[in-house]
Amino acid sequence: MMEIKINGKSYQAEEDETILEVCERNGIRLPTLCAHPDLLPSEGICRMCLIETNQTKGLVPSCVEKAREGLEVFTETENVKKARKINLELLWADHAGKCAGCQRNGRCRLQDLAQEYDIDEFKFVPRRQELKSEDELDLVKDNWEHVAMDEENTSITRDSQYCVECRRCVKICRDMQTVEAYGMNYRSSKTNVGTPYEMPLDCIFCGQCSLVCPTAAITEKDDTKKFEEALQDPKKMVVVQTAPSVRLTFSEEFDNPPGTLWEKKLVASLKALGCDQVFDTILGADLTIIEEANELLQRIKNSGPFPMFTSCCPSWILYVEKYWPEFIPNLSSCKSPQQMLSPLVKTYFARKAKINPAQIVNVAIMPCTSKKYEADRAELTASGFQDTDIVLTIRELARFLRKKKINPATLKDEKFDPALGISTGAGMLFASSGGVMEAALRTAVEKMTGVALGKVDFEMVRGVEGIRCAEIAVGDLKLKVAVAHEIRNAKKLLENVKKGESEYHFVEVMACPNGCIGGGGQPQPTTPEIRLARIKGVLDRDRGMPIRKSHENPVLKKIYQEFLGHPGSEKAEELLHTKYTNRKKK
Amino acid sequence: MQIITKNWEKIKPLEIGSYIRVGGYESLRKAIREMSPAEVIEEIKKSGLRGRGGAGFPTGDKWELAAKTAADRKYFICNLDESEPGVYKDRIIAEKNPHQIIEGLAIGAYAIGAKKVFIYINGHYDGAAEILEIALKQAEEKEFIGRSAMGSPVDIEIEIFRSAGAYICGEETALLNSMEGQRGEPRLKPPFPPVRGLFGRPTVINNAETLANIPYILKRGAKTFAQIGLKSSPGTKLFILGGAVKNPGVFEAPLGTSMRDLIYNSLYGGGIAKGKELWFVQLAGACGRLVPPAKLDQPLAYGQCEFALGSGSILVVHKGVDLKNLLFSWADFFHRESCGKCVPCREGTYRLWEIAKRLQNNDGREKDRENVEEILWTLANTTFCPLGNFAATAWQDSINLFGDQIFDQK
Amino acid sequence: MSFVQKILLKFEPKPQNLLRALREIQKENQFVGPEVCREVAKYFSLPLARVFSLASFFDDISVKKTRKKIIKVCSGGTCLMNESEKVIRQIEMMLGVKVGNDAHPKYKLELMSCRGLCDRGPVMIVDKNIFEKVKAEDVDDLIKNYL
Repeated sequence: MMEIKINGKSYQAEEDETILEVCERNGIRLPTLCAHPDLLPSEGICRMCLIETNQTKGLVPSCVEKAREGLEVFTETENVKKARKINLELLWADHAGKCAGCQRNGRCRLQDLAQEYDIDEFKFVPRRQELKSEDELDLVKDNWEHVAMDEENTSITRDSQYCVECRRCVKICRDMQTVEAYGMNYRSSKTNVGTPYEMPLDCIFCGQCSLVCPTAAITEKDDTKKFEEALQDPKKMVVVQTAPSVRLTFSEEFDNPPGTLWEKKLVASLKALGCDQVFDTILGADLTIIEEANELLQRIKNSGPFPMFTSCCPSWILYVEKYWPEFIPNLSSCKSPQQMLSPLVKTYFARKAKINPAQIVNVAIMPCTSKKYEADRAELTASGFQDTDIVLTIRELARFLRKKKINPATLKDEKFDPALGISTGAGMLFASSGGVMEAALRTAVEKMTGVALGKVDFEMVRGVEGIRCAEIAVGDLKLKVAVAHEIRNAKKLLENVKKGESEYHFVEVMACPNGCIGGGGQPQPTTPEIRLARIKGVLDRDRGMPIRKSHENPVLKKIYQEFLGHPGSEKAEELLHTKYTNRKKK
Repeated sequence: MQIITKNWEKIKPLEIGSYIRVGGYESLRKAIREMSPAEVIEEIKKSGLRGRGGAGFPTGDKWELAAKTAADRKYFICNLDESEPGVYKDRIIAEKNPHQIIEGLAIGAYAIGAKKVFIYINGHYDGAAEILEIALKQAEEKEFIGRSAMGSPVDIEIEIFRSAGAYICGEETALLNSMEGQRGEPRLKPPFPPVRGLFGRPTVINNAETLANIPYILKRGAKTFAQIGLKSSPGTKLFILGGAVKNPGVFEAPLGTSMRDLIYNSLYGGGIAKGKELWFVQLAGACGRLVPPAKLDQPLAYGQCEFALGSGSILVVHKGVDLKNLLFSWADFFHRESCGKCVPCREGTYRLWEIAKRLQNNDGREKDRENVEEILWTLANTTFCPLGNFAATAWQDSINLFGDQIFDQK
Repeated sequence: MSFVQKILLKFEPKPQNLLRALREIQKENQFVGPEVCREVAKYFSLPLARVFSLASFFDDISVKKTRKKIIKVCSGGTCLMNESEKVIRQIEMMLGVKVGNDAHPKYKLELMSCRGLCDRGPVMIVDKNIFEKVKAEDVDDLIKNYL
C-alpha cells in the first residue's frame, strides 16, 4: 500500500494499480474509450484518459501509468482538457450528424463523452453548406469507401462507419473467447475493425463484442420490427417467454442498481405491449434439468460417454461443433430451456387452449445474441413449425419500450401466465455460472439416492473462478463435476480432458463471463463488479422461492402426466432432444 | 576526416578479400580473441558513440543494459529500414562496404551475448539486400561469423529480414512487432528493448551507420574516436545533401560541422545550385526542423543543437518553391504512414492531409488555421509514439516562419 | 503442390517467418487472396483474422486485386525539389486522371513514400518498372512504352 496525491488530495493505492483504477475506485471521473475492466491490461490506445503527473513529462495515459510512491496526479490541467477536447472532436468528425438514425442514440459512450466535454462535432468536418468543390466531395466520399457492413447473420450487425477503433471487440474475441473472428485491418485512416477480406462473420455469436462496443459499430441484430409486426397482426397470438437472468438485468436498463429484481415489471411491460401470453423460461429450465438429470443417470448406468457437457448455451454448442467436433458425442442431447419451452407452446399449450399453432408467434426475451442463431437452427422445428420465431435481447426490449414511451416503473406488477409460468429456484440458478450444475445436482442426487435433500445448496460449484471442480459423494459414487465459463477456460478444460489429465462425469460450460448474467445481450455497461451484484440477485431469488428443486415443479408434473409420459420417453425425445453437426472447416 | 568511408575507394563490396586487405575483421578478431564482452562495452562507452539513426542515444549504455539483463537468450538487430524521405545513407554503406556493417554487428552481438542476429532491411532495397546476402556468405565461409566465430566457442548467426513497406517499422518497437508476425505498431515504452525486446528477450537495435563506426573504435581506440567531432557528440556523420545544392550526395564530416559549412564548402555541397537562391533548409527528412538562412552557422551534433540533425538529411529549399506543395508532401507522407492505432495520429494526420490538399488547390477556409494549430498540438503532445511529433514538426515551423503566407489565400 | 505450399515449405512455421512468407507469395503472385491466406494461416496455426490483419497493414502486400494499371510517383521532399510536381501534372494531363483518385476505369496515379533513391529523383514506377531522374518531358514516352 502507498499514498499518492490526485488533484491535491491523498488516496491509498496498491502496488501495481494503475492511476485509472485508483481514480475509478474513488469516484474521480476520467474519460475512457478503450479501457475496460474485462480487458486488462489496458494499452493506452485511445488517448482519452491522459493526465499529467509530477514524475512524468507531458501527458501520459492513466490506464497504463502505475501508482508510485510520491506520485502526484493532475487530471484537470489546461493541457489535459485541451487534449480531451481536440481528440474527441477528431473522433466526432466521422460521426457528425449521424446520431438521429443510430440504434444507440441516447445510450452511447461517445455521445456521453461529447456532452461531458462540450465539443463541437463539426469542427474538423465541413457542414453541407460549406462544401464547395468537387474535389472536396471526392475526399468525403473517399472516407465512406472504407465502410464494412455485415448484416448477413442472425445475431450480430456491424457497421464500421461508427467504429472508433478502440479494439475492445478484437481483444475480447481473441483473449476471452479465443475465437479471434475480428482483426485490426489496413493502416492509417483506413484502419478498420473487421473480418478477413470482409467475409461474413464466422464465430460463435456470443455477442461479447456487441456488449463492449462503445458505439453502434457492433450491435445485436435488431428484431424489434418483427416483434412489432407480430404484435400488430390481429391474426397472430404473441407468446413471450423470459430467460432467468433478464428479470434481474431488466431493471438496470431503467436506472436501477444491478441485482434489482424486476420480474413483475417485466411481465407487466410485455403485457402492456400487447403480448397475449407471458410464460417463464425457467419452466423450460426445470424441464431441461429433469431431462438432463435423467440422461446423466442413463450415462452413469451405461458407463459413458463421459464427461457429459451441458447444452443450453448455443455459443458453447457452436464452439464444439466448429472447433472440437470430436466432443459432439459428449454433449447432452437436451435442448436449451428456450428450445424446450417453445415446442411445448406450439403443441401442448396450443392443444389445451384450442389455438391453431400456425397462429402462434413464439418470442423469447434473452440475455444473449446467440439465442437468435439458435432459434434459427434448421433442426429446431419439432413442433412442425419454427419452434422459436423471434428472439429479442433485453437491450432490444428496453429500447422498444422506450420507443413506445412505456416506463415499467409506472406499471402495476403482473405475474406470469400460469399455464407455463410456474418456476423453481433451481431453474432461476441457470442465470449464473454453476447454476445449471447446482440445479442438476439437486435433482440428480435425489433421484440417485432416493433420499430427499435436506439442504439444497451446493456451494462448491458456485463462485467466479474460470474453472471450478468438485467431487460429490452420491451413495457409493464419487460424482466428479466441473464448471467453466468463458471460452478460454472451456478450451483449457477440453484440452485437459483430451489429454486425459482430467476426468469428469458432468461439466457445465457457459460461453459468457459468469454465465448468462454476463451475456452478450445484457445491458451496457457490464463489468466484473456489476456481474457480482447480478449473481447476488440470482442467489437471493433462489433462496426466496417456495420450490427450489426442478422436479417438484407442479406444472411439469402435470405435463409429464398428460403429455410427455416420462423423462426420456419417445415424446420427450421428439420434442425436447436434438442432434448436433460437425461444422469444422477442412 | 574519415571513419566510416575510410578506404571505401579500395573496397569491392562483393570481394571480402578487399576488405580484409585494409584491416577488415581485425577488430572482430580482437574483440572475440583478446577482449571480454564487458571490455568491449567499456570501450564503446568510453568512445561516446551515439546512435546515428536519429535519436542519438549513447550506444555503449544501450549495450550495457542488454548485457546486464539476465535472459535465456538475447538478440541483436541492425536497423536498415531507412524509410525517412531524403535519407539513403545506410543503403550507400551497405552497397559500398557491407562487411563494415557485418563486422560492427558481430562485435555488438559478442558484447551483449546475442547468438541470433538480424539485419532488418527496407523491403525496397533489393540491391543492397543481395549484396549483404553475398557478403554474409563470404564472412561465414571464412568462419568470421556463424558457428564458432573466429575459432572461439561463440556463435554469431546473422540473418536478413526484409521489411514490407511501412515507415513506422523503422521505430524500434514497431520493428520488433513486425518481426514477431504482428502488425508493425509501436509498443508501450517502458519496457525498453534492451530489457524486453524481440519475443520478450533483451534486444539491442542499432542503426547501420552506428554499427559502421564500431570496427574503427576497437581498432584505433575509444580515445582517438572521442577526440573527433565534439566532446559530447564525438565522431563523424554521413550527411545527405539534397535539393538546390551544386553537389547533392552523401558526405562524411565531423559532428559539430555547421550547416553553412556543409552546404557551401567545396568538400561537401559546394554551394547553391546555379540559377537558384536559398530560401530555407530542412534537416532530418520529412520530420525535420526548418532552418532560416540566418541560423545556418549553427553546428549539427547530438544533444546540443537548437536544430536536431536527426539522421543527417539536409534539404536545401530554393526560393520559388511553392510551400503548399511541400506542406502537402509532408502531410501526405505522414497520413499514409500513420499506423492507425491512436486517435490523434490516425484522425489528426488524415484531417491535416485534407486541409493540405485544399490549400494546395487554393481552397482555404476560415477555420483552417485554428484547426491546423490544434491538430499540430495534439500530434505533438498526445500521440502513442513519436510519429505524431514527427508529423507536426515541419508544419509547425512553417507556420511560425511563413504562417500568413500559407493561410491568407482565400 | 500449389505454389503457395512450395513457398511455405521453405519456412519453419514460426512467427518471425510469417511476414517473410507473405512477401514471397506477393512477389510470386502480386496478390494475397482469401484462399492463399487460409493456407498460410493453417500452416502457421494462426487464425485467419490474424494473418489478414498483418497482410493488410503493409504497403508491399496487396490483399485486394486490381485490374488497373498503377503509376506511382515519389511524394518526398527531395524529389519535389527536383520538380516531381511537374511530372505528376503531366501524367494527369496525359491520362485524364487525378492523383489519388480512383475514378478512371483503367489507370490509377498514386503518390508513394520515399524509396531511398533521392540522389536519382524524381522516381516513378509504372506497373513494375522503376524509372529515375524522370522529367516532365519523359512522361509521354515512358507511358506509351510501359503501360
